[in-house]
Amino acid sequence: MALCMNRLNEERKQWRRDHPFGFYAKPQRNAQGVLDLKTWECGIPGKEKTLWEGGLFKLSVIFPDEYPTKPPKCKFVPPLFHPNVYPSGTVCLSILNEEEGWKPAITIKQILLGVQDLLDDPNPDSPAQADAYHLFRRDRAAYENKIKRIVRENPAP
Amino acid sequence: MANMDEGQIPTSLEEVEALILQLYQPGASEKVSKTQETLQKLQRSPEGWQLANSLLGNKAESVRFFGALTFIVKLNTDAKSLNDDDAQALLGTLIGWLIRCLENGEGALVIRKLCSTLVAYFLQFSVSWTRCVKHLMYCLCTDQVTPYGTIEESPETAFLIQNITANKAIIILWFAANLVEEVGKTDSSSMKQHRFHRRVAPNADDIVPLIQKYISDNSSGADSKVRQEAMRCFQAWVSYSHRAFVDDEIVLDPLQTLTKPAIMCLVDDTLYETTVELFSDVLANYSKFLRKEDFTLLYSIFSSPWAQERYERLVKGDYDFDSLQFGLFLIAFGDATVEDLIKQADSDAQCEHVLSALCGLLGAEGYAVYEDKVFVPALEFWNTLVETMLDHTYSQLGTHPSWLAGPMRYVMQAIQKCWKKIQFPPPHEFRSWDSVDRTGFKDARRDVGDILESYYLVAGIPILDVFIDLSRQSINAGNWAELEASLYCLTRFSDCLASDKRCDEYLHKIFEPSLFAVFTNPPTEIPVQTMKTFLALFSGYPDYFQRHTDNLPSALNIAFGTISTPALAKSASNAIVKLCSDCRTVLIPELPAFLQQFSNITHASLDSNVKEGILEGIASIIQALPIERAKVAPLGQLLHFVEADVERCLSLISQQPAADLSTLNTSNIPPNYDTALELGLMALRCLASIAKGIQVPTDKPVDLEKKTTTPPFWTTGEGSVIQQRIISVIVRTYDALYFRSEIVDAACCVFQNGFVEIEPGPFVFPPITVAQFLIKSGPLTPQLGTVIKTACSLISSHRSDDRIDEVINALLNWIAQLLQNLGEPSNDPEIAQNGIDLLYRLIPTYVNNLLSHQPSSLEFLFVFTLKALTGSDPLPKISAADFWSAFVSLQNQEFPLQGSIDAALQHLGPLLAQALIYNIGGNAARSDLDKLSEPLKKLVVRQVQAKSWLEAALLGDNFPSNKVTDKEKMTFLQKVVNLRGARGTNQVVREFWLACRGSNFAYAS
Repeated sequence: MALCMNRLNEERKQWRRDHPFGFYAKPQRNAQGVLDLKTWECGIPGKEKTLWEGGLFKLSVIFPDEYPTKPPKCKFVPPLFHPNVYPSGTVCLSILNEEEGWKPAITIKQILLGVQDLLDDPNPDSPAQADAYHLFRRDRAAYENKIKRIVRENPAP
Repeated sequence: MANMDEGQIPTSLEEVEALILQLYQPGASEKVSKTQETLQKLQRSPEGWQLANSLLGNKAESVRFFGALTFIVKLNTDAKSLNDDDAQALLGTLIGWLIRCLENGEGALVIRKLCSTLVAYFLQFSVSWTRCVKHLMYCLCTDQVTPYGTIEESPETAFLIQNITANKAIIILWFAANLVEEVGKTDSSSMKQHRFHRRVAPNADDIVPLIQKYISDNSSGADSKVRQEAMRCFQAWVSYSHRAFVDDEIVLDPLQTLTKPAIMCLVDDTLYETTVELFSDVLANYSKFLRKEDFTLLYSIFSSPWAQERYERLVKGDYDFDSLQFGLFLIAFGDATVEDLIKQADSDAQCEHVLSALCGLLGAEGYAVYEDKVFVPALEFWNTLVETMLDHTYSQLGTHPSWLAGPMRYVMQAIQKCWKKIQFPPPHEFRSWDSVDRTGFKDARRDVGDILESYYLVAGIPILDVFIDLSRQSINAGNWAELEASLYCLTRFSDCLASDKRCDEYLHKIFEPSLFAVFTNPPTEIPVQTMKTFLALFSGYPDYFQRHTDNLPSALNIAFGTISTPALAKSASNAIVKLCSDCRTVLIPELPAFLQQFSNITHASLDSNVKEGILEGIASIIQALPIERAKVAPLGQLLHFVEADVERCLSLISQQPAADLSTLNTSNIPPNYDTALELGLMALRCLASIAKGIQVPTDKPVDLEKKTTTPPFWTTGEGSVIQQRIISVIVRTYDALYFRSEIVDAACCVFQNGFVEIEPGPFVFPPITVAQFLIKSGPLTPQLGTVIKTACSLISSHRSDDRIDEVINALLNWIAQLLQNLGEPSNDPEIAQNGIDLLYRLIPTYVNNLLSHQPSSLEFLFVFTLKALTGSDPLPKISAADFWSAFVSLQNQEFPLQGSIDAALQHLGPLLAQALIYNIGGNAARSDLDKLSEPLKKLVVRQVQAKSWLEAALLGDNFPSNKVTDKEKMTFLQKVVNLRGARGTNQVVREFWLACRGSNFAYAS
């Protein structure tokens, strides 16, 4: 637990010092002002020159007590239409899977950049929601139209 | 030479020399890489050592450089071939070359490379060359190579340094800096293995006096070059000392004696850049390195005229590298001392001075990000400061620390400066920036918002007054950019206090008639951004308008007034939806006016999603009408707008020459359909928005006791005319454009919005009506998966209905037909998955309908789900697993239903066991294992014959792996049976699956 908190404090410091354009990430504070370092509120902008450009998507990152041994859970709020996002909003990405690509050295910046990459580059081998997955595979033009609509509904400020 | 071009190994030194010279000549890249390849072969050959030595004596500098490089290559690849004597001899050779270089006035290129060579030597032979700095110093000072063994007899380091020449000193500084840089790069395992930190540490005693000689007072008049190298060397050592501290808790305290003289070097222009970078870095990453007296000295440095001059230059807009470095240095100092700064903000003059300076950084010249490069880093400091204040404020329960007022004063000043900084430049100027600067500027605005949100928790609601006063001043001055910034700041508090009534007395001061008047009749044109932010303010505080309805009409009027301006339409429609939805009850009297408003603007070419927003908003007011009957007329009016779009859509289509619609799809649609399609799509989406708006809010209490005795007002009563019109809109649009997937999608969406309702309503249709629409779809319908999914929702959502058996049977026949038509699940995984999901939804309520289905078709359906289970598509597989878990679990059904279920399972059980074992035996993806464990667990718990079925599957010919023995299979089976469906089964399944895959598949961890 102490390891988790130390690491999160360090991550927070690092993020402040250097973070990619258009992103934001900060631990939540409850109404009483108490900081919850284990739940971060983040924003992922769509990458330039992709369908997702111009959008900004809210992501909750929830760290377990065993972090960084175990990976955090990333959840789009509200859930996002994307082949690798579960209907609950949880992101399915190898670097976030304890049994696959997670390594304790992965930083929050790397996670958020990884999720940004995933937006325009879905992995058809691990579908997480049926709607987006099927549309992506069957009718790319309709899928792209749908994404454009989603981007319009979630514009970057 | 001819043979060399073909990449053959040269045989004489001259040939090698020629090759090296050729390598450094400009030339074709292919040739260069070939030459390089040949040379690398030579370097790695056993003669490499000899070659390196020979090349160092060459007359051409590049060849000598290559000689040193060759030594490095040999050391890194072939050091093990040297015995102790060889190693000592090699050290002598290398140092000998350095001495010769000095004598010959060699240039930096070769000397630096030789220093690197010595470092490469240290990395291999650190055990026998621990006091390397002292040894090198001694040899250079005496101009001769002395064996390392005699180091104890050499004079004191201090003595050597006294007489050392600048040239020699530079070489030692290069070597020492490079040494710690390279050691610092080694990974932690080899660091541990070689105990590098322990071996490097003693060298600090030797290098520190040398550095000291050059960075302390410069009365000796030393050359600035050697002084710069001394500072760089110090920088490298300090940075390395952090690593040594983190890895091994080694504190290199001799280095700390240099801190004071190093700080004094800040004021020396020739040393400034290295020194300021060094201290910024130490303050940010390793402030433990600095002692109390160092901080005292830094405080006084910041009060010095030197700092004042640098500071002035920066805040006046000099963002050159060295100037900006000073700002970052000040910020790093603030970060490192933030605890002191907040606690002594009122009591210590030096703290006050630093805080004022940090505050001033926020007010430097120029637009943030675009020109002003210090604003964002300074903002981050203030964010840290406010967060630190908060941590203190909330760590002591109930009491605020006594010092709190001090830093609050500075934060207020900082916020004022931020307020100025976030003001947008004139629109044409903003548009001329590149996108990185524009995004950066908006990011900076958001960061300011973050500070405000945090600071609100310290300062409380009165902070609103600051921005309310600023807004008033800006209005009086007619300064729209300022007003925008004030309003933006006010929006940022909405998350913290929207539902807090105490904010009302403050908000009254902003939401008052004179302000609305300004926005309704502005004296000069209001920029779009200002208007946008004003609209965002409405969306931010809907609760306020709910409590104070007198301002609501003005707010909505402004929103409606701006809706036809494209750049504002989205913000305006957001405000309308939010205000209408949250204040629905109070807005009832305004309903006729809104319908009129909408009628006025509906002729303007509104974006579909803007129109959808307004309709949703108005529908939510209709929802609030207490009597159902009263909803009919206004809903009718809303539908009228939608119907108008449908008519236009249909009339456009009818004007087109008849086309064979059945062959139309996304790719060959005639262009003249585009407008019709847009209109049709808009009509259906608007309908879905009305359906959404009319939904009963989810926060309304649900009366669980209440029986649904409401007369069927909407389905057969007076309201049915509305339902008929809605269905007509859907059906007519669908029939005209059924070949477009968006239309199918949008039509389904209207029904979906009705399914979630608990009470009867205009969009809650009789299930048979929906079913009749859905089963019109066939294999050629685009988006058929969505249609089936809608049918699934219908099944799950339905409430008691006389004709439900008819509905279920119709859907079942329809899906059976579709799946038979499909043949194999793999032909269209989407249809397969949704189809199986539909079967799953029939369990348990409609299992009777399922089992009464036509026998041959029923058998087909069961086999279809089993095929999906063994297939490779992940989603049908998961749906099939869900279906079988549910089906296997069925028990205690009425007579004779349970008998039919049991009979079916007698027949299907062995096949299901086979399908599951086929997956668990290695064919499933790892991520599907948990899902597949469910039917297995249910099978073991519910079916007495499960064990024999599974055994047959494990030992049968279809078992997919030959990596496990029969004994292992039986052990697995026994474990699964013993667990009786407990959670541990998943782990057992996982292990067995891994064994079947072969152990080398395990993920490397």
